[in-house]
Amino acid sequence: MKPVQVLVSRFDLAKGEHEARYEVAPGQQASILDLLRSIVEGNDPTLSFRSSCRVGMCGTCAVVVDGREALACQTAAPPPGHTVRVGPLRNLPVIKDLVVDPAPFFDRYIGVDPAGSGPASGQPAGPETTGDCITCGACLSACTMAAINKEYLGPAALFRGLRLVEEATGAEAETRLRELADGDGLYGCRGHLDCLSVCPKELALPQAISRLKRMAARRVWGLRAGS
Amino acid sequence: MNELTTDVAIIGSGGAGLFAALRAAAHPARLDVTVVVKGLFGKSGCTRMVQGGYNAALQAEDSPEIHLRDTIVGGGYLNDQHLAKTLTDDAPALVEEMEQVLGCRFDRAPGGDYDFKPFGGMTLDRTVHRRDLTGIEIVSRLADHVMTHPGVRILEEHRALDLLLSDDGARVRGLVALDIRTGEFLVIRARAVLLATGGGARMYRYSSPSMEKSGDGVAMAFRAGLQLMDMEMLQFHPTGLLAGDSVLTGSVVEEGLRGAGGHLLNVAGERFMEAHDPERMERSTRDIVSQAIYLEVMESRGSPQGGVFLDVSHLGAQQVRTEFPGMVDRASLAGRDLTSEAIEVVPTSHFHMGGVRIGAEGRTPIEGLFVAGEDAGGVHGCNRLGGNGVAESTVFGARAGEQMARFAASAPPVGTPVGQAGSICRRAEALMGDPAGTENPHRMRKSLEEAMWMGAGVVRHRQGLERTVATLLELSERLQTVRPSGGRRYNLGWNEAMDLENLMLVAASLCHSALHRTESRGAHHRSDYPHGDDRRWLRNVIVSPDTSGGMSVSSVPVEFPFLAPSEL
Repeated sequence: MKPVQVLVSRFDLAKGEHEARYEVAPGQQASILDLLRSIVEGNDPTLSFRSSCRVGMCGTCAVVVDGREALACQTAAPPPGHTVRVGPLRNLPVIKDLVVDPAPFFDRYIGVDPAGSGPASGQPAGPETTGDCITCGACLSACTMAAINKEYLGPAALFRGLRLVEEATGAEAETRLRELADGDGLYGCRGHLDCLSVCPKELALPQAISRLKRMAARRVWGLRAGS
Repeated sequence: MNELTTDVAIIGSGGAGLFAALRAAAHPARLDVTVVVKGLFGKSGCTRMVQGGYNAALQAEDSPEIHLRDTIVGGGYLNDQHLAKTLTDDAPALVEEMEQVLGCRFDRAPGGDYDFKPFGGMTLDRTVHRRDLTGIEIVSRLADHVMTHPGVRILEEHRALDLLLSDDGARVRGLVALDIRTGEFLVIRARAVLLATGGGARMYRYSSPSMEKSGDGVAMAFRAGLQLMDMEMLQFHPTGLLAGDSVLTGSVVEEGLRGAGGHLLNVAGERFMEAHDPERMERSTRDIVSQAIYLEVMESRGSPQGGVFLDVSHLGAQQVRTEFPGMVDRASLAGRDLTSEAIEVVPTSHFHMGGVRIGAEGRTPIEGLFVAGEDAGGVHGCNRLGGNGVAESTVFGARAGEQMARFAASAPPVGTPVGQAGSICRRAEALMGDPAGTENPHRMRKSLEEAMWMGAGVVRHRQGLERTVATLLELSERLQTVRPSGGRRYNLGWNEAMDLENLMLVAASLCHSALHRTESRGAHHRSDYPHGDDRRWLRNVIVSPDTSGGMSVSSVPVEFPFLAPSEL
């Protein structure tokens, strides 16, 4: 069977950046994560990448595969003879090779005050908040606005923010909404839809952000549809 | 060497570590709390991977006493009953706290009560869940609170190497960690330390836990002089997915597929469970189904990939797709369509019931050192019930966190035992390899996994166990001659070698304990002693460090403060 050509973005503080090419004989049912492991086990032990649960539950192994964010463990390797290009997530500082510093992602996440503080007393979550975020960072990596605006909270944080607004009632809901609507936190989103289909858990991220904007327009700015 | 002083150091950020951090940080003394975790914070470990749910006696007709009885019957009477009682007593209040205070959202039945799922070995339905991804919700919401708490410092991708002790070994004084990103060592001085890293179930050819888990807490405790108990008791989940050479192999195919009427078939198309448990067939308990599958494979009646077939296609595509969407996805990654064809499965190493011998609230004989979650032994006896794992980690994490805070608030500050830190770092650096070294640590892991699967797996016997002990000795020597895998920063080969060192210690303790228990009980099945022997073996096997660092094995009788076997 012909090998797969794997092009990997390498980065090291001492050596700088370059792209390395590896030939890997893919095993049966190989994922991108399996290819990376093959490289470390055989071709080149110095490559660094992250992984943990390998079943799409932890969000540790997000990388960019052929230009698109994906969980390495949930993405099939290309057929024999083909080439695949793997790089680190964007909009996050690279520590080494495919390993990024997730701090800018979690700084934003903490920015929505993610800790819920009581029983769910508000409306049941709508379709915009269905599903569970695994904080993998894929959406922030894909976002062209996050790349240029550090104030923008980004899709995953806003997804959590929306759920907390929906679960809260009265004054807490209003306070949360007001804080999200402040500055560029929510309105840093210009609707480019970069996060439309990038989420490995298929969360409706653009819809969640739109919903927050509609809620803020009505309840923070006092706007009415058609006015 | 970098240094840091804290009041409470918590190693691990699964259910136990997170709850311990919340409790310790809530103490009025405003303690400095540090969470040290080998992977990313809140992502590493197995609480997050919990699919099924959380057992708690919350139904009106249920009670902690009934839950305790189920846990002890399921545990083959080997449980430390005091610990099991702590679990069943505390679980209901913790579930309510998670929902009412911490913001977890669990599924509700139409009437408004929790949607309790039926789980194996339970008298009543008591498993609280969020669809089939309960762990993500629990860990995410606990992590939300810990990461926003001003009193908690998080050190992620910091590997705990070993504990620092007072000169007489009677008191804990902190730990030495390796910052995986920079490759620098860090001495953490702490008045109290919690081991909550998770177990060593990854040491088999087929295993389900997250890949970085390597029994670090058990290994560190043993090196610090503590005893281990019931190490022969390692639970195999009967249906791990076979997915070729992919790391997906070994991941759990949920029990619900058998519960819903799925058939287990050998290569001849026979429902072989008929020979093992004709009444319950595929719905028999985890240990019996695992042993039956293992025997089919070992007697050459297995599937092409060396497992058996699990077929649910007769249930109809509609039902399979609606009830098991996650499993349909998982099978498709393995190249199979679960709705129309059989998948291949094999028993997969899932959970270590054995662990560090602890007292009430996770205390140990070393003052200031606590152990919680899978690192500890005793709670589950010889078999853990589904849904009791996340209950254990959260209950004992919370208890330990409270006690550590109380202890740390009044304990004197600690000095750093400099000599110890230096030798811990030197031992770790030796595993970076030297230019003359040739051993590939990743391949060595495969050798370990093969040896354990063949010699200390689902069904064991004396010769196989003795052979495995010899292989482990040989592998330990080879580990000292690994090849280098790059520099200090984010070096996966170096980390693999350190994982292996700990896994081999856990593996050796398992083999010695399995040789010692000359009967079959729960997860421990010996083909040369195929029957249980209550007269001789209502005992816990204990592994103690001897003066030269070796393992000495003995046993102690189980105590029955609440339920004696005659009453069960």
